[in-house]
Amino acid sequence: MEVKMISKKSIKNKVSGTQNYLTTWIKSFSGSLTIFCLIILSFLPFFSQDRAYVSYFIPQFTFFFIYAIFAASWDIATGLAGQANFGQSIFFGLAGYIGGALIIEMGVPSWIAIIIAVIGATFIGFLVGIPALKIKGPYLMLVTLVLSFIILRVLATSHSGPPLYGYEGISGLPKLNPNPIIEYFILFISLIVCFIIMMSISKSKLGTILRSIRDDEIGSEASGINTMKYKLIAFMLCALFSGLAGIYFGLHYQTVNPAGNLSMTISFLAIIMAALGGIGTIRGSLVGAFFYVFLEFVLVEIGLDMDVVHIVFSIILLLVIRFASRGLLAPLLDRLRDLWDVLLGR
Amino acid sequence: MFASDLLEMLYVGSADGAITALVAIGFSLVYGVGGVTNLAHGAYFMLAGYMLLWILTWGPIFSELIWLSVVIVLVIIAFIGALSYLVLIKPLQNSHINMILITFAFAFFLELIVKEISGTQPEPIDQYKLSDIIVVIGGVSMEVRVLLQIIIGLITVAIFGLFINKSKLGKSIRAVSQDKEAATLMGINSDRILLYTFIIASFLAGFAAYLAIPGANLMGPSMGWNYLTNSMAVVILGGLGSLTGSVVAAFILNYAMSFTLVFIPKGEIWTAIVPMVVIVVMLLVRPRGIFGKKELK
Amino acid sequence: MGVLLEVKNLTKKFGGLTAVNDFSFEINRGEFIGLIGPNGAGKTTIFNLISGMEKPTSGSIHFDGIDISGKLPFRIVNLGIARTFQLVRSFKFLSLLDNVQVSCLSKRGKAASKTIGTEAYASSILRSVGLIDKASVPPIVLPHGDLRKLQIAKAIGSNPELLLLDEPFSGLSYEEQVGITDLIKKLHSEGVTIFMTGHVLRELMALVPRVIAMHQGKFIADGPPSEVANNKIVLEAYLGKGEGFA
Repeated sequence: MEVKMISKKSIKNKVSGTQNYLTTWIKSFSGSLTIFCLIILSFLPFFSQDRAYVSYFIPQFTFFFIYAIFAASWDIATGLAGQANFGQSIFFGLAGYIGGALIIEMGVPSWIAIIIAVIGATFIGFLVGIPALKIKGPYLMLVTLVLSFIILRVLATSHSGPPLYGYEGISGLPKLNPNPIIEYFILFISLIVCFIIMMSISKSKLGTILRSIRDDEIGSEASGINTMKYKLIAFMLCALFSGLAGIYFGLHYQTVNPAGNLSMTISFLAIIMAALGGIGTIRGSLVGAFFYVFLEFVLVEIGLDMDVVHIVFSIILLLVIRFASRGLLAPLLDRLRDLWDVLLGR
Repeated sequence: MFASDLLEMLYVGSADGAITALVAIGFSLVYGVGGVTNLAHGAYFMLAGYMLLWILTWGPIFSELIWLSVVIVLVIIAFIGALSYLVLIKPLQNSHINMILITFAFAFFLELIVKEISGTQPEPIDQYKLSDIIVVIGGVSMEVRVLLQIIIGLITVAIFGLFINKSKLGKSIRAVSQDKEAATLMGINSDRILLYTFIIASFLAGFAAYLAIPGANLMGPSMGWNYLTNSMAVVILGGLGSLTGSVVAAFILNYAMSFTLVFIPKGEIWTAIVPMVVIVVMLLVRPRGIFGKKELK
Repeated sequence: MGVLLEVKNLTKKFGGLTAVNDFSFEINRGEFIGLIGPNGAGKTTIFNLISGMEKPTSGSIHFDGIDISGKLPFRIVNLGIARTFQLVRSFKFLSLLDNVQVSCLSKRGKAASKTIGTEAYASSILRSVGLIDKASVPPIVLPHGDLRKLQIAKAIGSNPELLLLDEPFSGLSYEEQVGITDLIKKLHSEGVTIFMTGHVLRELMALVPRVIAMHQGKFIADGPPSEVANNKIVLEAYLGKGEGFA
């Protein structure tokens, strides 16, 4: 009886706690900014009926949604848990392959293929993370880097058609939805859900444990934390979200191939977006992904070749890591926040 | 039939083994002395190869004066090695993760620059090679330039071994790699030693490219990752801080790869997996490597 | 009462060097013991062996009847042995509260904080070591004395039965030493068995009722401080190194 009462009370406390949290959050700077962006993004597809707007401009945002999930997933393993991961393309690309093969070979409906692809990616994350059970330090990074390169080479040199599909990969995949606006909203909602989950992980006790491993692995172990287990969890979470991004990416382009889904460039994208936003912050990936997509759009519009665009970004990445390891945008947000506080008279 | 296959395997494996040894020694040296996992190390090899191509096709002076071209390329690559330490890595030494990320970004940057200039297709360098002669030994036709590559590669490794064991700079390098603090107390400037290490490492990678590439193909701007991957496998297999270990491991690794290529069906796909298998097996069974004195930390 | 920790014929070799040589001793539940020896005697190695940071070359370590030699560090913490390090280590980008909370999230820490939650539990630990005012700051801003306190706070977050303190006084001013001494005494009075090292003997000898002395990896004496201090071999070990008691 007493137990029941306590639990009821605690649930009530929790609910009102969440409400309080939400109200203070909305009034805070980041809360207001987030709500503002959410409203803009919700109405964005309806500003114009123009064909170019709907079929060219709007899909830029679907890229933004996919990339933001992808970059944030990299940040979980590297920024939170400190396990430098250069094999991000493995999860991203192989999820696309798993989902694509299921759809093409077995006629599985897209949404089931997405679920299985995500589970598959998580399992691959588990397999890749297993060396983490035994080894410390730079080894894990070596394993991820070498593995991503090898998977790329094996798939690219294999024969076309199942099981490895060769250099051409899998094509003829269905769109997530033929209507770009509906696709936009599916991805928009996925982004919101993923970020709520990832931000809660970052703020939770799991997040604290992961950060402790990043800051001092031996100290964490000496505090009684099974660091191997948590590193593995970090890898699986990373794989889960990047797998989701990967299968969305494949379905958006309607094709999956080694060059487009598994190359080093893919891992590079995750790193640059997370680094632009500020490594270890999770939400920085949102800003980084937006900045990336925006700048890429502009650079392509002014007529630059995609390779040149990548060169520009690799220079930006060098500069950001060298001179602004907090990310470009965290300091900018601080300025904005000061301005906001002044405006509200705080 | 089997004998000639075996000879073929030894020929291919030794040729790649000598090159991998040269590249891996540099990677291992930089890791041992400065704790830097330099992901751009493979890119030095790749860039040196492409610079040879560019300079040889640039003007008649350079294709006439081969030795001058080679010296210019080696000087430039050593300079790039020095710059990558001074400008990118040294300022970030207190943050391990940023240090690794910046070497990754730099490798990627070099790859993209080369891709922009020369495209992704394999390109031969046929303006010049060490030797044109082809001999047939035991039913396997061998290029003399490849045999020279093996011999010169091994001689270079031996010279490097003498340098690191006998010369004053070599002794300082060993001192820093064994105990940085003690070396600093003895008046050795460990930052400067690390700079020299980067110069030596990038020079060796460039020299390996000079031995391996003229007469053969440049396999595209992403080939640097191949050599980086193999270097990592060699360091883990041979053990850190052991020159003999690195050389033996380089040959074992490449024999394993050429064995896969020659004897296993669809070998050209599966050779790529060999370094990975080596890395994982060694990490699980004997993390300090065959000849290693200490574990990588 | 009864034996809590039993170390038998413990040996650890690093290459040709024998850091710990055929070392045996027992610690009873509730004891307060010091481990003394000149610099380089092998004290830290003994702690590393007990806490699982190093694997013994031979010999055994039993804790509460369970063989723990060669077990992983976090499993040993989960059995009830926590430690601090001679060089302070902390999670530099986490707040003090989170620094302590990490060990509260270990198996024993969770069990101990079941009723109030790990956050409140971590706060109560910070309060008891006197760092509660600084709960939200990261450790980089702390003075050295507070960092030493944080080390102990992190260790007791996992609710240990046996606490290994490696040189808890090193680098501290006299006032700071007094603070730490009071803290350790309080923990002992709450029932934690304490095993601590020190190479400067004065504070340690005044604090503990029993000391074990070692030199060059070997056991040399065990008993009350007054007895051990007059032991001929102990005197030789210290005077030979030119350290003395002063």
